Amino acid sequence: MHAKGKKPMGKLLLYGLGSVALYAAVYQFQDILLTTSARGGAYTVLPIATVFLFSWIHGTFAGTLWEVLGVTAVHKAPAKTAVQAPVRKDTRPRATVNA
Amino acid sequence: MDMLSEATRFIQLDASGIIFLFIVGFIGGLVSGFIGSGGAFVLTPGMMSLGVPGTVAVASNMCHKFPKALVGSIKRYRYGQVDIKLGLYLAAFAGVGVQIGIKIQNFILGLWGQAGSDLYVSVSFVVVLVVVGSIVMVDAIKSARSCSEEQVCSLALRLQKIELWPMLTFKKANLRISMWFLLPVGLATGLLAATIAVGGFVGVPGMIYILGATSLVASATELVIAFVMGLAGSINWAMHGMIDIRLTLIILAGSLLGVQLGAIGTTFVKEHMIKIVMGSIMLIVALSRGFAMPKYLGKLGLMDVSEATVALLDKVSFAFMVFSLVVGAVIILGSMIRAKRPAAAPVAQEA
Repeated sequence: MHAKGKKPMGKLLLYGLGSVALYAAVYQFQDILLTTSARGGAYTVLPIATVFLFSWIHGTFAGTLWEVLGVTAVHKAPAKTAVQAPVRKDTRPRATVNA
Repeated sequence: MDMLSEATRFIQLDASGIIFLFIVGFIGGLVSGFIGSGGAFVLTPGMMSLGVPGTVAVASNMCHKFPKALVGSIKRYRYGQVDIKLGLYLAAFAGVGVQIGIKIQNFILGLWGQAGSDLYVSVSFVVVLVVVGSIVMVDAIKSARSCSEEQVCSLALRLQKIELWPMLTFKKANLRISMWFLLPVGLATGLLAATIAVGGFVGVPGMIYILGATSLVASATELVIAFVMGLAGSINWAMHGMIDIRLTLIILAGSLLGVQLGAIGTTFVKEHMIKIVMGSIMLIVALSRGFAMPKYLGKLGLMDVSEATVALLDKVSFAFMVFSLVVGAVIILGSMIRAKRPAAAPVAQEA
């Protein structure tokens, strides 16, 4: 499990710092986050937007980390079904109009 | 809905609780990225064991599932495994299935109370997981023995030949089938999601054995269904203010690492490994729920069981649930290490 080519160390560092900053912010402001989220209603957007932001920053960091560690996909061949059912031929008589 | 005061809703987190959630999140993510679902069922009882109220545990768990499914599905889309159209159709039908499931739950709750409802959930768990898990496991063992390419199930081939309007074509899954055969798979997925919170245990086998998708496409497409359903469910919970965002983000820290490793793992191993992992987890979880049944039978007066026995069985049940996830993770990591990377195989470069 080893990667070829240049490893994206800069990207890892950037998103890693971003991820640490986000988690530090959550730790620092956890009371405000919790009380605001607990209000529900219009504040629904807060927890949903927060997890989308973390998905992007921490998700990119996590993906880059595996890449840097050399754990990358082996191939990208699209999976296809082994056998496909043949399309049934329409044998019904076809109506035609001769003008 | 049971509205809890803020003081009782959100617990104090200590280091051991954070580490526990991170590790379970990672292992759950690994399993979800590989088989498309099934990684999150340990988290709700796990959070409850830390003192989190049931509704907050369910809400916070669901709120971590949809971003995890999003990241996993994007990763697997890059590998050409996701059929978005199929996922969206099934998610729409599953949404209807969830509503039917809730109606059934409420009906049983009114008829036999909480213990009756819990028993219904446990019986559903055991019956569905034993039946479907056995089918998946037997098929996986056959595929492993034959060492041949994955074949489409004969039932799926027969259904694909039936020209019943409206016919739907799914290019990535490489199949054409009537919407009327898609509908029950989606409904059953939603029904199971509403009952045992793991719709993928029916959704993935349904896509494989009824629709005729490969295990790779089925497990990857299940992530799309999980994203749509998880997002809708999370919005619902967030509107009631039930999400503990700290719990969600700690689990997400582990699961985003795990789900991408699981997705990468699908490119390392043979397709029958997905079925082996799924079948193993389903059968062990069925056993786990079997241990929980005497408690509910006792509450309904159908069985004589002491409190000490119930407490012991609860612990055994939870231990088996954790064990199922660990078994899944060990099989995935073990098969990845065994498969390694063939020297001549082209390397996928991804963003």
